[in-house]
Amino acid sequence: MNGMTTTTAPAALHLRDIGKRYDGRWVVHAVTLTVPAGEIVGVLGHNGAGKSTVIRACAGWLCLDHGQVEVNGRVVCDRDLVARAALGVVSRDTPLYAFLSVREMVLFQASLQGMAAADGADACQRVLTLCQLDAVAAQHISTLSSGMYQRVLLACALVHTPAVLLLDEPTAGLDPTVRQHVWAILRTLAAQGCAILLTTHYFEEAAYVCDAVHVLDHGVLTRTMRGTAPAALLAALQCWFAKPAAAEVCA
Amino acid sequence: MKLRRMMWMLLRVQVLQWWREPRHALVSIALSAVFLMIAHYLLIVYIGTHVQIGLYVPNPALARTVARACTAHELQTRTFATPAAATDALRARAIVAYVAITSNFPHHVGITLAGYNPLLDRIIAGMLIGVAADISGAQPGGPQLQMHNMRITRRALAMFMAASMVPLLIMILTALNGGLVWILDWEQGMLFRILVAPVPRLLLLLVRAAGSAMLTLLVVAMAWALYSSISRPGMPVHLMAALAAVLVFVLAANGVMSAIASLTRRFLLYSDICFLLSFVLMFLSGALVPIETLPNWERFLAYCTPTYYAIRLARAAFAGTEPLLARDVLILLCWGVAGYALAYLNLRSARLDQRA
Repeated sequence: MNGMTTTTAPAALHLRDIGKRYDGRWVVHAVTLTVPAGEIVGVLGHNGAGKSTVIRACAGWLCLDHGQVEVNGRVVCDRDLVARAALGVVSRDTPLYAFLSVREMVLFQASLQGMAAADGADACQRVLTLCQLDAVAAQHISTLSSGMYQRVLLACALVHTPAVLLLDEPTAGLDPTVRQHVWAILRTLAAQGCAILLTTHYFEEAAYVCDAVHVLDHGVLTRTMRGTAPAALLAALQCWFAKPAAAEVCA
Repeated sequence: MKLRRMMWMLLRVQVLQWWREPRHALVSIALSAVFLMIAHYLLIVYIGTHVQIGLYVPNPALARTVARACTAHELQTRTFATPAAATDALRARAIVAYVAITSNFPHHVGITLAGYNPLLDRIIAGMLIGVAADISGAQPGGPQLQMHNMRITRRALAMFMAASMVPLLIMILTALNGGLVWILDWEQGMLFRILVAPVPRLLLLLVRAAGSAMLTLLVVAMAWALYSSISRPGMPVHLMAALAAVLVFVLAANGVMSAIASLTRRFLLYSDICFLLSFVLMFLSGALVPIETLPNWERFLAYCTPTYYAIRLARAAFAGTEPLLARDVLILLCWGVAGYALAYLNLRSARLDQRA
């Protein structure tokens, strides 16, 4: 069950045979996957499996050694501002300005996306409410807890209502209540037509939030599960990660 | 035993860092070499050996005596047949001053200084007074000195030095502001937050340049106001030209620093290079040591640096001691544009995997 997925919805994000090498070693190799609009696709894998590299490749932050990434049919590259405008990214690679307040940071992100002042302010208020950040809107980023920080990262990624959302371990370090809240936000966004690609270490997140789950092992997609019931998916993932050699038994 | 092991491990890691990242070590070695060079210049009497003094002494015996005295003071001499020829050479900056002795006794020593560089004139006047004292020391009453083009007043020197320091100040500030913004954005990852948004990279470059220029101008204006209140050097001779010149310095220095930042992409390497470069540029700029006193190869290097032209332009606009030359502006603009072009090319290929 490697590689291509068959879907009926139009593909918002398409990774075509992407590959990335570091020091001659393939970190991600021949990864092809599709995230249709309105779906949440999860990528699971051990530390160093290449999950973050996949997200970075989708964001256009890496010089790929092979393949390409397309957003709504447009190749993600430096010159294509339309493709970049369609992306929202939550990643630890892109920190926040510690000297800005939460509201200022989100407004800054809105202006980077080319939004007018009034639209930016409206969108800022919307995402602050959505991410339950109203209470800390005036607080400086440097004073936030890691959970709050993560939510600000999400608010920044959502401010321009992206067509494609890339999330690199969005709930890492969050308490269960906040995690549930982030999941709810993601489901709402997907229902609104947003294509979401997320990487995670949490089986529950993959099983209960994602419509499709890909397992990445040493940079190669080894399994793809789609349309599986959450409980069965959870059991399969737990089994697979405990005994990857017995993949067929887990399936 | 435990402490010894800890010390050993710390030392080992330090050596490994030098070994695996030799760039820092190489820059440190280069930095040490520059320090040694500067110390060398300070230790020997450097100024006299590379300047040429014109001599107009019709009496051949006296001419030989004067030449010997100049050599004893480590000054090179060039003999002229007429005072007009010596004046022409002085105007063409082939010599930095000339000495004319037309009588045999008592010695009427006429010293004509270049007059465009009070710092240089001050050094040369001091040395030539020593020469005059030597050649007529045996005569009763000593030499009768006549100084021409003598403009070494405190005010002129203050204005001249201020005009020389402005480009250096801008260069250092630009190194701090312009380049550091890029480096911090690279190292902290903010650049990638910006680049994943639909922001054209050229626009980002221009905005960063404008921001840095604004900050630099503000700081320069404040520094100038503070300096004026203490030293009262007066307003620039050509106010508008001075403002335009400052803008050109900012553009040139910012372009160069942005290019260095885009090439290095690491704070440590960037700061090492900037530190080294600041020393070299400061030395070759003519702000602290007159260019005329440098040997030919260093003078050639100075002509290849932007700060030499920045200092010339600043002296022309602020102190009026040099002619305002479009060539200087053009060369600085070329430096700025080339720097920005290089920074833009590097920014275009900016990727997360190239950060370290």
